[in-house]
Amino acid sequence: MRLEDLKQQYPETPEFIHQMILDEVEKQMKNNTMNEWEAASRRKKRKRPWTFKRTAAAVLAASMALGTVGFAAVSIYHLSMKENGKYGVDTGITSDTDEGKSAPLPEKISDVKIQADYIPEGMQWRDEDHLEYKENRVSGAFSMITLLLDTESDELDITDTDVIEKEKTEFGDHDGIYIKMKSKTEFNQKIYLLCPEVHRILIMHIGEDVAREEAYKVASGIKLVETGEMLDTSEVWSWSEYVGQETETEETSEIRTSVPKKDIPIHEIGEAFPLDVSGTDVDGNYVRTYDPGTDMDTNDAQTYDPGIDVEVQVDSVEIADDLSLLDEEFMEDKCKDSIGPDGKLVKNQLSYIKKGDGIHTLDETIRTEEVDQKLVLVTVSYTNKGDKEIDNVCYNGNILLINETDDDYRIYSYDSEIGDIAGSYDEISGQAYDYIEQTGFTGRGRIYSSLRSDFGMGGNYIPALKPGESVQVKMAWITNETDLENMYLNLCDTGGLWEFSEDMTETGIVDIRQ
Amino acid sequence: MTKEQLGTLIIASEQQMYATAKAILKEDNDCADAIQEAIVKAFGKVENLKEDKYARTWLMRIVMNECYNVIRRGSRQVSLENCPEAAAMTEPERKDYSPLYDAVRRLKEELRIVTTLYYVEEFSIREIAAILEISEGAVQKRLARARAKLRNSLDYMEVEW
Repeated sequence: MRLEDLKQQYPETPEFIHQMILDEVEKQMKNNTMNEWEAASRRKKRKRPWTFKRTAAAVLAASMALGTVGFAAVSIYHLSMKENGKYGVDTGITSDTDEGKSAPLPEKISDVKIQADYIPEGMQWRDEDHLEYKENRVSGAFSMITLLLDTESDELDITDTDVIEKEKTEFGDHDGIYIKMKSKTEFNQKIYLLCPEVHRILIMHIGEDVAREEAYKVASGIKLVETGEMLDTSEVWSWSEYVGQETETEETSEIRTSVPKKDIPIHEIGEAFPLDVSGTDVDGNYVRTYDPGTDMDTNDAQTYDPGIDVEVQVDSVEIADDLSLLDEEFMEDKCKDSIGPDGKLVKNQLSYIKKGDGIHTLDETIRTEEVDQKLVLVTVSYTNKGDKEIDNVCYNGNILLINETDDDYRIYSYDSEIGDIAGSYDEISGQAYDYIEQTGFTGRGRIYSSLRSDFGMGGNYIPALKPGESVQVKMAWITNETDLENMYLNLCDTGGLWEFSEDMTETGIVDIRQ
Repeated sequence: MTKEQLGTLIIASEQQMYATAKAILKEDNDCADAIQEAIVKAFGKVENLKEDKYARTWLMRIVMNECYNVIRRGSRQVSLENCPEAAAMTEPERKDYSPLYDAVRRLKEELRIVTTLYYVEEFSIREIAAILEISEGAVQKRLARARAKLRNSLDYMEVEW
């Protein structure tokens, strides 16, 4: 038995997942306009996560014989619209009586079907939730979802941002709110339609290709009709869940983007220094040059070989306007897109963006500029200083862009999520900006590795390094000319473009500034 | 990449998506949820994919994110990480698992994922590094640790490493 046989021994995709994938792909192909909320809605109808709070509520409902009649007496709902800053709108639902808050939901509730008295010319129903253009099925049109007004929905607001038009009005028999947003997506309009007669709210996502007047006509003719199919209430997607998911914040992990100068060695070009590497011995056993330490278990320790010792040094750094220094055989395919008709690297267009909060301000491009891109070719020597051959040595290299302060090295990136570019000051426009959009190749990682081995399929391996032997490897990147003066090279096999790893602070980085 | 091409890719990647999800989640129902969400998000974000050649790694990254979202969303869903006794559980399909797969299931999540991506889904070290957003060296280290652990737990078998 070989580990490579694992593929044959892995369980096959269950039939219901296979069928779900086929169905979902087909649905998505037809339904270019479905958004994440609808997907969530569909999922929730099938299965709903059971938080402690919901479990407790369900237990309570199940234990109350009168639970199913309380819901019929739930009070009248109202839709509220409040301005939130210049570009924010808070939409909320309130009920008339306090009893509504505590009334348990029935265990079953009828499903509803959307009916429209008015359908714009040229549109048709695609499915029960979508109106589409007959001639252009991938265009925006209407996409609708219904949400249950559960007992937790009372006084919960949702905030729409980047709103440039808004109105609270009546659409036929229903109260509603219309909003239009400055948005890059094709759905830039929305109508909330309160349907208290079926304890629902309907949300219409409306494409930019639909006139506001047409949207009003459709909304005015909407009816939610009970189908009689009884659903488990706990399975129906509700307003409170919708609001909860809308306000959920992404979890972000801590990234170490700055390090005190005293805590990281800086090596010069031509300076050799020890590097932890991994590979195999002549018998094919996995070995590494470093002590795995206490965070690894005894199995890992067995592969530590103190008789292996590797040094590394940067021999040279070359800068070019084209790719003529590279051997085409080892180039990444994406390199071809970096060359213009003149054979030179194309310029990189930078857009300096000041982020809006969507409430008081909108995203704004404060300035654009074009900068030259350069090829950075680095030649690195790996030398086996030990007395044992090591094969299939994994090599790695990443260019870090670093701003130096009196005390720290600070990694910067054009992305606002990495480093501290947010709030940077643009001297030319005289304004602060939060991130930079770019069209070029800077920051996309290594484009060239001159030595390959079949080991591990990744390619970036030195086939063999005998005792006393040195092997040269060439690696290349494309970067903005303006960043050449801030380049440092990380040769550790951990850490990346955007963070200082523990290995890097122990091993050090190489100053390759030009 | 067009939506038609994405649809073709997704259908062709069915087993890879399942294997990825199964490396993180215990229950097939949860795997289904994560994959379904991933498909929807992939279609919604396909225009952001700049280079088609990275579509497969991009898709797997989305699947993994959705697996973690499934874990975060509800306490009922259980990740393999929180269920180290997974191999001893009595789920119906469990009896069909091979000893090798069983041993992989017992690995820590970070090792199980790289093992699955490398040996089952046949991604390259570089692709796995992109999917997991770690360095290639870190991928290789994890693979080595996984191999060592598997060798230890399967030492009674004639496993070639």
